[in-house]
Amino acid sequence: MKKEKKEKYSNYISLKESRKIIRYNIGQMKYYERLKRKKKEPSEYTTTMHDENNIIEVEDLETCFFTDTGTVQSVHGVSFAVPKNKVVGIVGESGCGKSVTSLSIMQLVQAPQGQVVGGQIRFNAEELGYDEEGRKLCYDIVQMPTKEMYNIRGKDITMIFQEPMTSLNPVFTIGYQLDEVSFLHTPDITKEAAKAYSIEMLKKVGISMPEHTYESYPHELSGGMRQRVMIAMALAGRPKLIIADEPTTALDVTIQAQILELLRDLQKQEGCSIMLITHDLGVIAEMADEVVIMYAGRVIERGTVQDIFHHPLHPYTVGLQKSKPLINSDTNEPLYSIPGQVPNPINLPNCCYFRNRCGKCMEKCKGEYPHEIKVSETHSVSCYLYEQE
Amino acid sequence: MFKYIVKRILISIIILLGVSIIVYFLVRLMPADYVDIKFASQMLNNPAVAERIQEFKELYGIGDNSFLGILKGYFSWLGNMFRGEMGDSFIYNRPVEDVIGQNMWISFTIAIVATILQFLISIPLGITSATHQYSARDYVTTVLTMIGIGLPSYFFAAIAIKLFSQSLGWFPNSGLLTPTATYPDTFAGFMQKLGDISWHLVLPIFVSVILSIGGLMRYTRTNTLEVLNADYIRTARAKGLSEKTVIYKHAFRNTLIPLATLLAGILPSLFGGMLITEKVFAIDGIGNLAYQALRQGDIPFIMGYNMFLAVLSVLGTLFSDIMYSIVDPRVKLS
Repeated sequence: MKKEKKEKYSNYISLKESRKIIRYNIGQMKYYERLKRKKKEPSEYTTTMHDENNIIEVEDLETCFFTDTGTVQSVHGVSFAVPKNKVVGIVGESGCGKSVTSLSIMQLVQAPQGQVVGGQIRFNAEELGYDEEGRKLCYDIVQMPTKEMYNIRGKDITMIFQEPMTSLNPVFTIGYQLDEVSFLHTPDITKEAAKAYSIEMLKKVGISMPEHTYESYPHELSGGMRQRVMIAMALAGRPKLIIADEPTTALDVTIQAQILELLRDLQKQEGCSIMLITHDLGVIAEMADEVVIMYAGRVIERGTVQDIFHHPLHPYTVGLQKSKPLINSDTNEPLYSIPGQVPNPINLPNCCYFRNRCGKCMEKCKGEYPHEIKVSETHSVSCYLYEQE
Repeated sequence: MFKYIVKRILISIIILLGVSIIVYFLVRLMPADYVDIKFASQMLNNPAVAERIQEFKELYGIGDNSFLGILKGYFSWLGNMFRGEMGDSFIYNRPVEDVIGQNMWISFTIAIVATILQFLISIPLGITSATHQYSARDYVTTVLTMIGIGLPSYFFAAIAIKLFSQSLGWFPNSGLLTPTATYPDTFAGFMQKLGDISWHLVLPIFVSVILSIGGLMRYTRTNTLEVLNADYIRTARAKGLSEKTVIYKHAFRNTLIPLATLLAGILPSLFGGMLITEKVFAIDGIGNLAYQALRQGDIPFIMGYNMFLAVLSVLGTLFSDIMYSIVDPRVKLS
């Protein structure tokens, strides 16, 4: 009798349950916060790369948010790799965990509620050599204490954010904010040298009056200019990996094209990798070499651009492709949209999250979550449809 | 900038005129005036006084309580003001500016020490409780400062006197000087006197600091929390800055912006005295005097005191606007 009642009001949390959740959350948050502050020997957070041509390898990443209504698993066993000198696009709808994945790589998940609870993020740092067996040593960012992370952030891995309007500190000049990166990562740089370097960076990102912009405050610049400044800031540390978290979402279409072009040119020039997060398939088709498709915190399909755009496998990817507006289509049909909604991320069952919205749902789909199935050397998908092949 | 300040000062003259009209009419419309209160006891015993009471009122310029009479009184006060005279206080028989000038400094001393302490304590407290949100530290400071906000000053002052002065005997309970003490007319004697005064001021300052910390601390905490969730803080972290630099450089400058508005209220509170606290500790500060003047209907003093506060408030707002343009580059005065 009691059980029935509980199921009926599954959205309702009793005071007792709520207290239990809060107590659990406090315990968990304290545990992970302490882990991050703990002093560790470098050997504790170095491992070896699986492929030394990758700049970063994410494996089974688990990131949770401990909220008052329960634990939200934002990133659930995500694995992918970013090869050197390549652009990897991560696509998915809002709330599917793409931003949280990128913030996990930077250790910037909103603490203490958000914590990386498992998996490995292997970052291929050049200064680490090879071990006795000839494997490339690397840092495991998940195990790294926050203090050590300061040396990687802004130098080896940098980030460009979604909102250029609010991503720059309004009370400091552009110059000050740019110089800060140089002062931080080049220990004995003089003021003049830092200024010259910052102005060079501003020139590089195509700002026409770099000296003038250097003295300006963020509110004196337009959105496109600010995003250029953000890119300059991301480049200033001479990074190996730039994480661009929807860099063009807040900009208008002409500026979008300019910024993307700039990013692509700079990536070629500087020889770094870019992890491009977006929900715009057009941007991906234009920019990326490899694509990772995410849904509800899981990677559902990954492959090269050709794989994803010419042979999409997962019903969700197929749906995404279909819901793209086509400029040259003559039909007056309404735009296709995938029916249904993204499931509530709290306490997801262990089965395919897309099955309720999927046209090809089978009896098998009610079972446990499908494993990643390798279709070709570069292409893999998590769906029972392809199990036999 | 200069033009803006001149413009603001010209506007504030109109504001001050409005304030003076309201205050003057309010004071004159009080049910009992200075003469009534002063001669109340004599009138009961001596009918001769009662007959001459109107005469006294005329002498003080408060005889005619009709609208025109009050208006006439106001304009004569205003005329004096323009000549630079604030009139003589009824109670003290001295020019109002002298009385204010003499008693202001003790209030000012208490207020400035209390304000500095308040800022020194509550801003760091606010920042730490924001950076350690939902921790034990946050809850403890929040509860304690909330108690501070909630306590009425007369009640908390009474508790402080009972505890520290009567039960423990650490501090004197009232006044500024120990009544029995004498001080030689030398430098050492002066220092001794100064020490005695400071000793007497500990409790009033303590009380006013404890009562005022809460508001500022909550304000700082809210602002810091808001700033710490801003996108540019994430950018600062993504650059590789240490948590300390992020909080005390990037976040703090932004926390300061709303705090600048608080400066507007500080100027009048620095010079205006604390009515109840001074009364409880029997300190002859300006707040205590204003309290006496209000009770006895001392019109020139009330007017003088209120105009003094009004001028300070107007200057305070101007000052905080200028501060705004200094701490926030987005604000330009024009």
